[in-house]
Amino acid sequence: MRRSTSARWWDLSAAFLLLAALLTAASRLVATEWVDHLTMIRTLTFLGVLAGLALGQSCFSPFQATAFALVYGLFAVPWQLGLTLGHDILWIERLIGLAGRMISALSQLARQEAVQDPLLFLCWMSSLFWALSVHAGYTLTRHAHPWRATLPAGLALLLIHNSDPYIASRAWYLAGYLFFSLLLLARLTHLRQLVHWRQIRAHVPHLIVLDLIHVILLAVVLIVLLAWTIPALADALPVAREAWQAATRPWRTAMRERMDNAFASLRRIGALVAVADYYGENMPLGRGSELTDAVVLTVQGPPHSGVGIRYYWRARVYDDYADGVWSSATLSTTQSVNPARFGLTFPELEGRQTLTFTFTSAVPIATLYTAPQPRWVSRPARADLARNPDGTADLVALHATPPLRAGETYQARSSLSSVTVAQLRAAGTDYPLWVTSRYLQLPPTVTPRTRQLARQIAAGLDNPYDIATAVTDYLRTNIRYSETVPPLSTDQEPLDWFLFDLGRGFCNYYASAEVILLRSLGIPARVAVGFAQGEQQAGSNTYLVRQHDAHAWPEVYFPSLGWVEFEPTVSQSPIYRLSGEGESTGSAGPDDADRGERERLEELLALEDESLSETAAAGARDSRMTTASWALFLALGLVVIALAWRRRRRRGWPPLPVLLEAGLRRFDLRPPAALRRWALRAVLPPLARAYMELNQALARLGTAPDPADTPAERAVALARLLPAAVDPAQRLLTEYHATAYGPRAGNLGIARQAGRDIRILSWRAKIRQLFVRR
Amino acid sequence: MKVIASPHVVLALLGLSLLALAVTGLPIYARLSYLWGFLLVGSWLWAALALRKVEVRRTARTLRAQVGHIFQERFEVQNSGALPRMWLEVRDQSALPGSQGSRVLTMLRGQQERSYLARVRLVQRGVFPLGPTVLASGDLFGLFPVNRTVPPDGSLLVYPMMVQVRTFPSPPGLLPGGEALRRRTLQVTPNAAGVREYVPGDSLNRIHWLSTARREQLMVKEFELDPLAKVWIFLDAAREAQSALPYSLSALALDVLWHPSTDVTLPPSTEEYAVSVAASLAQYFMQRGREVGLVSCGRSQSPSVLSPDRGGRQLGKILEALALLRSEGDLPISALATAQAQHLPRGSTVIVITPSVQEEVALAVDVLLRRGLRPVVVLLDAASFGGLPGTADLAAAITALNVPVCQVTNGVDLAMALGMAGA
Repeated sequence: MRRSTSARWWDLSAAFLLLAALLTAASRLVATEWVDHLTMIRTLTFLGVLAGLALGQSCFSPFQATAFALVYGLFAVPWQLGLTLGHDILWIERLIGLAGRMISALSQLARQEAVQDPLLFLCWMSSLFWALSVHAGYTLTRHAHPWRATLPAGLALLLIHNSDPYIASRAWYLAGYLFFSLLLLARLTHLRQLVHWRQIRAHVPHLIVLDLIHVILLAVVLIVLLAWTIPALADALPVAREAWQAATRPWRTAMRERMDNAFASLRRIGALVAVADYYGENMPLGRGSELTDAVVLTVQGPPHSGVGIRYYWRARVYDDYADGVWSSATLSTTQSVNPARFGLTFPELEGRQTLTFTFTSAVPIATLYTAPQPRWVSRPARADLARNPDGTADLVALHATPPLRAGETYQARSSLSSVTVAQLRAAGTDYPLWVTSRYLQLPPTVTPRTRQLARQIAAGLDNPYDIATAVTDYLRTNIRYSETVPPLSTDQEPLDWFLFDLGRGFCNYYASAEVILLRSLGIPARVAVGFAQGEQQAGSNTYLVRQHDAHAWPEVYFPSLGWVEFEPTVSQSPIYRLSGEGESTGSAGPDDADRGERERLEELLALEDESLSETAAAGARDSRMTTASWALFLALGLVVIALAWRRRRRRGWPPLPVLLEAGLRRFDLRPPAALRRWALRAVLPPLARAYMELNQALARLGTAPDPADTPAERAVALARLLPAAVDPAQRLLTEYHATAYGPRAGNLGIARQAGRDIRILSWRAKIRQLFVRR
Repeated sequence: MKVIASPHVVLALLGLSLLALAVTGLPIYARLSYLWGFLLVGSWLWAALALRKVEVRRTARTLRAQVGHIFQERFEVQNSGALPRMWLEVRDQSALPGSQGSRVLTMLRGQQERSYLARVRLVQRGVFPLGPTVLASGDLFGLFPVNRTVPPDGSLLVYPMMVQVRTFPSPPGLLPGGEALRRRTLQVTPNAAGVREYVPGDSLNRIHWLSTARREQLMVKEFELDPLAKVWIFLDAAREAQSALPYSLSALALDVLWHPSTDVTLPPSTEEYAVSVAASLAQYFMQRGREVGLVSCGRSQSPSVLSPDRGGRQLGKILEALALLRSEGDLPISALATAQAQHLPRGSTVIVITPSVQEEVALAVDVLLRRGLRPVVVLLDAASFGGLPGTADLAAAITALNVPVCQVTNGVDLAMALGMAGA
């Protein structure tokens, strides 16, 4: 470390740590892959840190250094942007092209249109990271201030992470950044100590760095690792987690709504680049998490009564299950489709209605949500599918190409099942080969007691529909709903644990359990994921789908009827289907069903909804109970504080401000002026405190008393300024004189009351001074 | 040292993280909250335990030393606790210039004691408390610096610098000589008065062996007081008379411990030169068996008078008085000499050391002469110390009274300058 005569700081290891931290922040942006050519940000960050270090070390004034940084940036940023263009283009043409694109993008922005050119974003990010890195380097060598050097870039990294939170492992970029930043903090602290030790001519061991470095490394690694892994540990304490969530939920919701409103105008700009894909090719059963109320989709569709048809907004399906993870193992073909020529054919099925829905995404999305089973979408897309032997497609998922930005709309046509119970019972078990080959897979880890349970449920039932209904009812009756589950022990099959030991869980577990139970009985089934119907807007057929509507459900295959949804998750309304009695199997639709039965089922559904609402209300009551318990804890805490306060007074401990001030001084911290004044006032005798009101009133009214003034002179001065205070000032003066100079003790009560009166009167006068123009 | 890593920043970050967690519910904010919480709590605990059960002791072999010598002190730091201390700063806040007692100790294990020696060249006379000693430590991130002050346990008295004066003028015809005072004394003088029987407690070196052999019992010699005249040193400690040039202790004087003590130079101050001259002349006359007394008026109107005596103890008294002397008095040397002259026995040698250029000094010397005293004047050249000119004129006036004058200028070799007095 060398400190030049002009008080510059230069330390190679600190510079390396800063560079590593800034490059980590830049790498986080690169990892988002929001636009092409983001890797240039890393180069700019590297150059920016070097430039900042050099400018900080130089003899330039802050203004000159800023000017130089600006000039360097005006060269470096266009240079890097120009490199993204073709190498065979002349530089002058590149610059003109860049300028033209920027003007066009800014014009679009000014017209509040969606900016299609990624150059604007790239330019913003380049400029931002250039500024951050130059500032960090400059601050390091000029001031050696760790917070000022690292906090701005850390904030930028956090904002980037908030915009791209979907891949959990990317949180480790922030961990890396904090790791380097804490090391830098420790290093700069050590450098400052070295300077201090040199100033006091203290002998310092030559190997002090070696002595400390491993402890610092260990401490930083420990802090970061603990912080990054403790949330998982906290999840192991469901009681604590649920209590915390229940206590903070109302506040979080309210605050979130306020923030959403405040930054609503930024949503479109922020949504230019982030893509929210909730479901990938694999889906672990997971531990569950509390989902937010953020709106994901708005769906407009044809009206329906809720009987016979259930709306789901499906993202994809999974066929293969192993060790608690669903995947689309056998469904690995992809094909591009476009609205004009969809190019996919599907099996001809009975008992289905084709309906068209309009989806509006509130967040950027790549996966196209559709009602099951999708037949067409109005966007170019990539379809994940499997080819059936007859040339039809077994569609898994649709991905929009390019992804949709927030606010964009698309249409999807789907073939929804509206079959009756009679049709389902009569469907039989003549499954196509492609169905049995794909959808009867069972891992060898499925336990015998799971199979035994399936057999018990299906005992005495002779058709797949009744069996599926029995399994659904069993799960709805015997398994309790829970948003989260505790960590699974590694030596147990997850669904076995769910069914026989845990007895509670969320939709992933319900759906998976039903599929595995049915498959063990030879009934083809699969898991579908996406969103539940959502909240129907009053007086319209629009559904507001929020993040907490994320859902998984089983689909069961019936020959000639296709995939039919079941609802085993108890937090969702059950699916009621018309009986279809008296109709010829496979020829009648729901419109022909008996009107009386429909009305009965609608009433039943309404009752179920009411029951679910009551469950939700009970949850709210629980929440209130939790709030009450928190309030109880708070009250208990206050009682403890009061008792401690009383004990303190009995034992004659110093007042709280004095303790606080002494505590701060013990750590070489200068107490704030307000605390010092408070502590000073706290140790005054009561009469002196009352007398201080007189002085404070004078100061408040702009005439601070002279130290040589006697109490009587101060009272006269106050009376001159504030005639209304003559009486209390006189009373206070009398008691003060009696105590200070007389043989008897003054009346403390009168003095206190007089002090209070003076305070009130002086504040009134002060406020009047502020508002009344003289 | 400016605290850069204030816990307020971490507290603010923790608060913001908790707020963001409450608003968004995102796990990243929970992690950040944990991180800041761990950092804060961990650092606080670290700092709170850093100085617990750690003690520091400092011991010195001697508490008396002289300017130019090396002072050595032993520091012992003991960790009685079980936890290791990563780093400890022992800050020596003694006012002793160039104090080398500050150290940084690392990796002090539990139940471990470490000691070190701190050596410093003494460059300034005076009394210096050996402390306070501050034990400081803190956490790794500088969030919670902690320290504890150990009050001083003793003081070091630093005598002024003395030079070996080879010759110094004595007023002619009066020294040595005179009649014996016929007063018995316990001191060993050149004048033996007789012998007597030995009594327990008499020093063995006073045994007169011839008489012992003759009488066949132990006989000791008895002495009478020296007939030689006493030497009075009058030191000018008036504030008005002093002058000094700006000065800082040179790094060489503080750091290079192996240089001989003579390399230590005096500060360019008439006060320091006068004190050194007085100490050197006291030593000079003591070595010659003369009784030496000291008169000065440093801090008040009443002068401090140290009666003449001889021996090492008297030299110690004089050096101690000179070590503590501060030229903050109001009484000019001329007034002091005039006032004290009437109390001095005739024939005594009076050495006046002054940087004053006032004519009254010559008048005072004349008064001393008239009282039958034998003055010698050491004039410090005030102009060379940044003071008023006029030393040469004063010297000429005093020389005209047939009184030896020695002029000392800034930077001169004191031994040589004093030896050339009256030449």
